[in-house]
Amino acid sequence: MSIVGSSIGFGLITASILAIAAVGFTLQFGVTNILNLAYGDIMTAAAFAAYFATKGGAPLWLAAVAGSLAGAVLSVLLNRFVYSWFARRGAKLFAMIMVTLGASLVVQNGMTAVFGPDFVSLPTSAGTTYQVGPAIFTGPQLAIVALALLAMAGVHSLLRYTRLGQAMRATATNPDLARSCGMATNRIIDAAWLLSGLLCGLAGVALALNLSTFTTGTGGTFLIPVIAAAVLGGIGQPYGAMLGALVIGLATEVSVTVVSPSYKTVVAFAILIVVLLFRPQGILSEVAMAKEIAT
Amino acid sequence: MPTSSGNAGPAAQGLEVADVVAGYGGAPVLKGLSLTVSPGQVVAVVGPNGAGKSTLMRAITGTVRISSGIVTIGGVDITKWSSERRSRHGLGYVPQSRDVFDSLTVQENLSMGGYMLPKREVDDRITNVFSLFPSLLPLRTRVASKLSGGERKLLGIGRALVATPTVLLLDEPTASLSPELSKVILTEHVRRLADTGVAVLLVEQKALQALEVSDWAHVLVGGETRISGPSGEVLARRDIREVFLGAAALAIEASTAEDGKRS
Ligand SMILES: Nc1ncnc2c1ncn2[C@@H]1O[C@H](COP(=O)(O)OP(=O)(O)O)[C@@H](O)[C@H]1O
Ligand SMILES: [Mg+2]
Repeated sequence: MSIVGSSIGFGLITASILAIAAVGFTLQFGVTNILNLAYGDIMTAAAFAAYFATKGGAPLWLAAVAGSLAGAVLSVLLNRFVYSWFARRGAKLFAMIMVTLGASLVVQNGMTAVFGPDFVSLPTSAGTTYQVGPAIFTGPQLAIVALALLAMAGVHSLLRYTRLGQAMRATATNPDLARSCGMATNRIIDAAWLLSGLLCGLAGVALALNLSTFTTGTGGTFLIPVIAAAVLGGIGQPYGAMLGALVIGLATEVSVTVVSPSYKTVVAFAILIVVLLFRPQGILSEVAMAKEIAT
Repeated sequence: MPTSSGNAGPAAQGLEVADVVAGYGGAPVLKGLSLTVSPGQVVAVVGPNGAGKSTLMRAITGTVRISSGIVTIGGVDITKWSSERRSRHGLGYVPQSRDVFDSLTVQENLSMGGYMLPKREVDDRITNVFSLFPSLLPLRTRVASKLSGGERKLLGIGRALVATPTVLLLDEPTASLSPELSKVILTEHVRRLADTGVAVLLVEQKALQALEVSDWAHVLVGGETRISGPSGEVLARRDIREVFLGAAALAIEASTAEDGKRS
C-alpha cells in the first residue's frame, strides 16, 4: 500500500472527525452568534467523560454516548450560566469572544488541575479491520465516517426543513421579531447549544480514539482546523463545513508525506489564513454584521 | 360580545393601554399614555419623529419595560407577560424596521409567522396571504434580504397576518413605499383588515392619509397625547393641521434621509 494511499485513508478519518466538530461549530456559531473558543475544551471534557466511562467498564459505544451527552450538557450550562449572563449585561461580539477565551482557559486548566497533565487513552478495539480501496479501516473508524455523514445531513435537514431549525435561523437573525412570532427564543437557543454540544462531544470522543492518547490540551489544539473548516464552508452551512473538513483533513494528512507531522496544525493554520484572504465572507462578514446575541 | 354602541364591551375585546409610563432605563419616553382600540377599529397615532410612537408599540409588545400603567388585550392584563406570550394571545406586530427575517426565504418568513399554529392551518393561511399580496407569490423561494423595500413591507405585514392576530400593531407600514402602494396598503388592506374585526393600531408619519383611513386618532408629542378624537374631527381642526401635522410633515422631510435606521 502506497504512503499517499494510506495517508488519504488517515486523512479521511481526520476529515470525518473535523467534519463532526465543524458541523457542530457551524450550527453553534450560526444560531447563537457566539464564536465559542471553549469548543475545543468541551471536546476534551467529553473525551475524559468517555475515558472515565470505559474505566468504569462501559463498552466503547456507551462511552461515546456518555461523552456526547457530556458535551451537550456542558455546552448548555456554559451558555446558560456564563455566556448569557454576559450577553444580558450587554457583551457584544468581540467582548463575547474574550469571554469564551476566558472560559476556554478556565475549562482547560480546570481539567489539568483535576485530571492531571498526563496523557491517557481510550481502549482501541482489536476487532476486525476492513479494506476499502487502498486503505484499511477499523470498525470504530468506519463508524466515525458514517456519523460524520449523518451529522452533516441531519443538521442540514434540521436547519432547512424542520420548524425548530427554521426557528433557530429566525432567532439568529432577529430575536425580537422571533419572540413576536411567539417563539420562546431562550428554549430555541438552548436547543441549539444542546445539539451542537452533542456533536462537539462526539467529535471529542472520536478525536481521542483516533489519536490513541490525549491530554487536557488536545481539543484546544484541534480547534484551529475546526474553525478553518467551518469558515471555509461558510458559517451556518453544514455541507460547506463538511467540504471544508474534507479539504483540510486531506491537506493536513497528505502534507505529512512531504513535511514533518509536527507541522499539521501549521498547515491547517496556513489554510485558515488563505481562506480568510480569499473567502472573507465566511467568518469576517458574520462578525462585521454585528449580529445580536440572542438570549 | 361586541356591540356597536357603548364602550366597555368592545374595548374589553380589543386593546387597552392605560396610563402607561415606559422607557429605556433613563427618563421615561412615554409619560402616562392611554388609548383604546376596539375590534374593527383603526386607531391612528401620529406625531413628529421622536415623539415615542415606536416606543409605544414596543411597550405593547413587551420589548420595552413598562414602569407603571397596564395593557390589556381582550380584557386580560398582559402587562407582565413575555413578548412571546403576548403574541400567542393574539397580538400581531409589524415593526418599523427589521420587520422580516433577512436570512430566511419569503415562504419561510410566512411560516414563521404561523409558528404557534398547527402545520396544516399555516399552509392555508399562507395561501390566503399570497392571494392578498399576489406579487409575493413568484418570490416565495427568494431570500428576504434580496427583496425591494415594498416587497419587504408586504412580507412583513403578510408574516404578521399568517397568525391571524386579534390586535395588530403597524409601525409606519408605508414609510419606505411609493405613494401609490402606500395608498393601497392603507385604504385597502388596513381598512379591510379592520372590517374583518381586527383591532388595528396604526402609527404613521403620513398623517393625512392615516387620519383618512382611521376611526380615531391620537396626536403624540413628547411622549404625551396632545389631542385625541374621532379622526374626522381631528382632521377638521385647523390648529392640528397647522401645528402638529405641520410639525409631523416637516419631521418626515427631515427624517427621510435616515430612513431604514432604527428610530
Ligand atoms: N433603543 C433605544 N434606547 C434608548 N432610547 C431610545 C431607543 N429607541 C428610541 N429611543 C428614544 O426614545 C424616544 C422616542 O423614540 P421613538 O419611540 O422611536 O419615536 P418615534 O417612533 O415617534 O419616532 C427618542 O428620544 C429616542 O431617542
Ligand atoms: Mg418610530
